Amino acid sequence: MERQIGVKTAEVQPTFVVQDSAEHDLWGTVLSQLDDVAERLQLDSGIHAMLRQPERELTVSVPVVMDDGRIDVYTGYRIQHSSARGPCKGGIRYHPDVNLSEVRALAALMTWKCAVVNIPYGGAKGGVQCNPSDMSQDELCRMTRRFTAMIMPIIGPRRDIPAPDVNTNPQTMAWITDTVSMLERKTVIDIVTGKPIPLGGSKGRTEATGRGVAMTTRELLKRQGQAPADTTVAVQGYGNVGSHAATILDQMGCKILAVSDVTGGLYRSDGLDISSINRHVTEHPKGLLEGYDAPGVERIDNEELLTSDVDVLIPAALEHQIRVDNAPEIRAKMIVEGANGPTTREADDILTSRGVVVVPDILANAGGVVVSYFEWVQDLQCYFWDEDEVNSNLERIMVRSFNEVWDFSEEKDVPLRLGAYMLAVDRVAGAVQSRGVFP
Amino acid sequence: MSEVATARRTEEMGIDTTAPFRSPDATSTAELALEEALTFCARKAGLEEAQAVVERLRQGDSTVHHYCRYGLAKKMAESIGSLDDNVKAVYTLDYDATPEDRCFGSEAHTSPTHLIVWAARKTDALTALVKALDRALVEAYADLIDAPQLTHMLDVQVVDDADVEERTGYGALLSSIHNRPIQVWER
Repeated sequence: MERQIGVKTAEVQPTFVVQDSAEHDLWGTVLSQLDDVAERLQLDSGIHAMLRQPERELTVSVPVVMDDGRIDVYTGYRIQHSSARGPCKGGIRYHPDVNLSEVRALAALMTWKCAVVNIPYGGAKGGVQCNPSDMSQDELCRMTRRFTAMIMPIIGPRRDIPAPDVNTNPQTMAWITDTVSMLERKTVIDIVTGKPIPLGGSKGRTEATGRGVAMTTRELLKRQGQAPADTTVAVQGYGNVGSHAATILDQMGCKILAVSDVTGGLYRSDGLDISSINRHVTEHPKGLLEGYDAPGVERIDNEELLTSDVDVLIPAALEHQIRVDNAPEIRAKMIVEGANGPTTREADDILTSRGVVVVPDILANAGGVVVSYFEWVQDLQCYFWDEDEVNSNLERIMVRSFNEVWDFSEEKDVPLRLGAYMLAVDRVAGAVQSRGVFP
Repeated sequence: MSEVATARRTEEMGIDTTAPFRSPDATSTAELALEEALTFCARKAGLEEAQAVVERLRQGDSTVHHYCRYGLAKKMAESIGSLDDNVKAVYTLDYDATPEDRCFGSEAHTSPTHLIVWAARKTDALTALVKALDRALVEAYADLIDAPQLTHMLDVQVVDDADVEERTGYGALLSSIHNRPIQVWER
């Protein structure tokens, strides 16, 4: 039954890049993108209206006894955008600028991210407005425990499973686990993901995002009819994502011509020796590329890396690296977004018009959330996999997801980014449709 | 603020940026910053004295390193801001591709202190100031934790008004939601 509840359908947006800025009203952007997709999918207006609103928003005040005895009160949020496809999933962040609008938008983005890789989750996000760097570990622990107690009515292994995000980490997740366990008088390891391995964390999590990026790249090459051995790659960012992606692509037979980090880039026209670079990074006191030298290796800067003559470019560093000023100069035919939001909206238009295939971040860097899902599955079963099992299951999901997005985009004749969002919204809408509206 | 004003200010502080930055001044600034960062770190990490912090730093305690980096970020930001009138605000960030990956990635115990300096204009004087402070900090810190191979302590990215307004390069990070920096100093 179609319900008319005054849904405003926005004008069609030219592209589908998330402009990830609180100041640029991320929630407004998320809504306009949803409206665009709803129009393209001819979504039922009632379902569209449901997806435009988070299911549940909880704001809590979190009093904390500080080390000097005074009481500080922090504001915290947990927002569940959709549980149509399963329990909500999303991180908890600690930052002075956390606010309701931002958390709401990030919760919706988690709904789409989980749907695009078809894991049985909805989307959520949480946060506490605080400066964790100015707080002691004891203060952080007390704040985390109190915040957990305050949001406990709406979280749970079958309701909403938090995870680490900005300025939270496995230790934070361990505190949440312990708090819930103490209050429920039983050990509840499936309440969060991103835990330390001794507390039910998953093997393979460290490499998961980079591994997913590499798998996505390999599937893209198959679709383009290009063998890895004939493929040249540049990777911007040699952190946790870029280094693992480069290493795995190198093992697959790709020729990695360029890599870079904050200290600059390395280029070798015949391909870099990734094993030797990894040894250098491991031995370097700061884990950086700085100081690496080998025959034939040239130093380049980050801009030169982005415009280097390669088949595949993997931006795996910061956002907004591919912009309107350098997009026309990019020579790669394929871009796989390892980072969040590395391409601006205008640059995306330029790349699309030039026929560059861009695998969007929502798909390419989803390996992390997929292995978080595996952690939850293992915790629910109290049965833990070895790393090979984690990796083979990750591969199965990433390969399937890439191909589903590719086929859907081809069928709808849209770029992969738009296709990924359309597929995600379509899946969530399908779940809402099937379940109907209670009561 | 102009480059001339910056030069005047640094001259008043006894700093010669054409040198650039006379070594004793940079050294004392860096040493003082390090001392205060260690005190901050001891307080936050629940350690009784700075020497205990040094021991933990040498052992590679990641929590202590985090506090030390943050303490250094605040102190170096204060120094940069007070020595250059052109600087509007300073931010610190840990960065990687995604926040989730930062949680799970290995962190070198001497990873640099990342600062984004928002200045009215990018000037040679500011670049020289940053380089001098970095050099001095490396000397002090490498001795402290016995890491002679250290070459950088500060990763400073200077952005100007245009970068921030147009959200280009590191200027985009000031309003980012994925790699969000924390403001550590403001004029």
